[in-house]
Amino acid sequence: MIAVKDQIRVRPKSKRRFSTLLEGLLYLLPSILLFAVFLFYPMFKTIYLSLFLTDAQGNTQTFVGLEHYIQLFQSTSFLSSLKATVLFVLYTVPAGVLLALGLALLANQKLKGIGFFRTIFSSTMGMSVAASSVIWLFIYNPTIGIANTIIKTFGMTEMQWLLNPDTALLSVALPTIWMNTGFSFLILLGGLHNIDSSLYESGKIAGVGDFYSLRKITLPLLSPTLLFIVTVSLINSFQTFGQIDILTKGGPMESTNVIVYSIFKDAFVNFNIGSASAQAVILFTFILAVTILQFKWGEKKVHYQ
Amino acid sequence: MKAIDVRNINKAYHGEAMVLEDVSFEVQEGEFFAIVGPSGCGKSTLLRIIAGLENVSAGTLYMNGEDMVNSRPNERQISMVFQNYALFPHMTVAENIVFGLHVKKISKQQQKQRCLEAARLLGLEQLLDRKPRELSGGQRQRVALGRAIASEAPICLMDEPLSNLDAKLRSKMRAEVRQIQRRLGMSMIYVTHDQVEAMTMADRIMVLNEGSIQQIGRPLDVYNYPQNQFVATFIGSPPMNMTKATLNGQHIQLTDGWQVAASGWEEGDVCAGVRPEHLTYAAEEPPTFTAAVEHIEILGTETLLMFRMNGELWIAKWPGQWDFQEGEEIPLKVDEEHIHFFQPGTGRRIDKRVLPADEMYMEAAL
Repeated sequence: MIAVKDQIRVRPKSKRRFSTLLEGLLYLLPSILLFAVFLFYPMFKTIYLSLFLTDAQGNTQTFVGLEHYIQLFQSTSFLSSLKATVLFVLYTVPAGVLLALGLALLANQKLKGIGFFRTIFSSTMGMSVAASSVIWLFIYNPTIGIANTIIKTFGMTEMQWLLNPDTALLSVALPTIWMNTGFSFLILLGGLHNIDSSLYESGKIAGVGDFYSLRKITLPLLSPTLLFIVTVSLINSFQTFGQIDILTKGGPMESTNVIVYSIFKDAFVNFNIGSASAQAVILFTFILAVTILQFKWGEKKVHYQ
Repeated sequence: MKAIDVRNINKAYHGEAMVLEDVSFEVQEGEFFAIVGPSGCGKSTLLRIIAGLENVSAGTLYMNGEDMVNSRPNERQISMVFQNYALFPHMTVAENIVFGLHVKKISKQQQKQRCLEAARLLGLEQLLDRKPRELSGGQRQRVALGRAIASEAPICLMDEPLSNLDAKLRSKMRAEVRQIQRRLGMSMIYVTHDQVEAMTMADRIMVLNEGSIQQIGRPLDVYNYPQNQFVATFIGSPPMNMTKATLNGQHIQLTDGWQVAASGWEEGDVCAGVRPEHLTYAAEEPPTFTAAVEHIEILGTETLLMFRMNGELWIAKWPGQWDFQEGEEIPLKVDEEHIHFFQPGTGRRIDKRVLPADEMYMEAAL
């Protein structure tokens, strides 16, 4: 301790601060490099491109300022795309998290053969988006799909799941929930495992009911995990692309044309890279704002141990 | 009246390993009963069975005169203090103390009153609005005690409640827990691996090893008359010194120069044991035997001398400060009445002295 104090006294403060900063950066260099190449550079390039008109190769032609943004907020297509995205998030995130939480609570019971169910419930984690989308494509098939077979046995008429603008977004949301459940389930189960069993035993001795202990013990202690899962699911949901591309291609009548798909179409189908970049920037600020809001809200509600 | 009456309880997991074997004991109302044993002896399992957190494989359990072996934990009128305190990190101290009282239909006002009473008893009044993470280990321990007190259950179960505290705080809390138990008159079952805790706090202790009862009795009886070799070496620190001794005609030969009379002795070879404090310095009188000091530890108020006895490490505990050189021969003296004998195979005590009756003591204590 004494030696360190002496060093501080001898060296001027700013110089010392600079050298420790340099040392710290050196340790961070590998990840900074990776982040710079794959995240920071593309991000700044996107912001830059969103201010220009470009040719088909993506080379900048003319500086247009905020023209793209103004146009976007006036275009009905983009606004409906925004609406579809928000709806899609609302369909998938709450339902997905609640489903995963329910399954995790079930799988956290100490029962014989529970390992089997834990494996099953988390198995969708191992499925690629493409593979599961193809499975759901078969499920939704109007003539041979099991979805129609099931609703026919309940006496309802056959449906054009993915071709009807009213049901298409829900029909894409359903597979998304199914795909995301595995990951959320696994994380929530881990969170449940971390709750000290003596807390429940204390509750048992006091004689509190199951619902009370779920509300007063499990949920508060699981809240950090829940916040994490909600945040990750939200971001994932905002960025959904694969299942839309395979199941509906943004149709019918742009009812499933969520922002990321719209970005993809603008950039790689219409070669309108400036506008696509502007959309990407809007999506980024959107996600950033939601995440910040969530953490602000979470700070009050979440109990870190 | 008996608060708890445990009869022939057996516990086995998955029908294989026996955790508890034929355990029977009773706890009187208002008694402080300590269960002590090494880790893995089944003492925590036994406590959890009494709490209703584990099922028994066989046996019965009466609490306040009622058969409770199949009833739920909350029907047993108990409170329990866990080793890790089981405090809810998201609740304040006050909320932690009154946790679960609403189930018993206790009004908010009365809950508050009980909380304040418990807090006053434990010196927590200033901390009621804090969260557990803002408390020290000893304060957390007190909050856990507070919950037990506020529940006003007649029976309190404690599972190694002091083992997470440092040594100084532990000895302070020892006295505090004991005082509170006396003042409130609760029946206490206290599980510990620390024989000092058991000795200093309990009215009676039960020594458990590998799932079976070794001895039940008041602390000094267990200390002075250990019923077998396990109890002799487990209770007491440093443990009782043990050595093999051979029967030689009318004498038991401990070493070449140390023998004790054994008239009418029926046993063959035996194990002999002497507590460290009974190996005294033979200043004037002729020593029982002499030994070369191997190692010496001066603790301030007492001195520990270690030496070899028939190849075994023996420890003598002398009051005061003694300074010997290692290798120095010291004369030691042992009163014959302080030698304990055990059967070498079973470890059972060989004794003609009669134990003082348990009941007599209990009446005096209550």
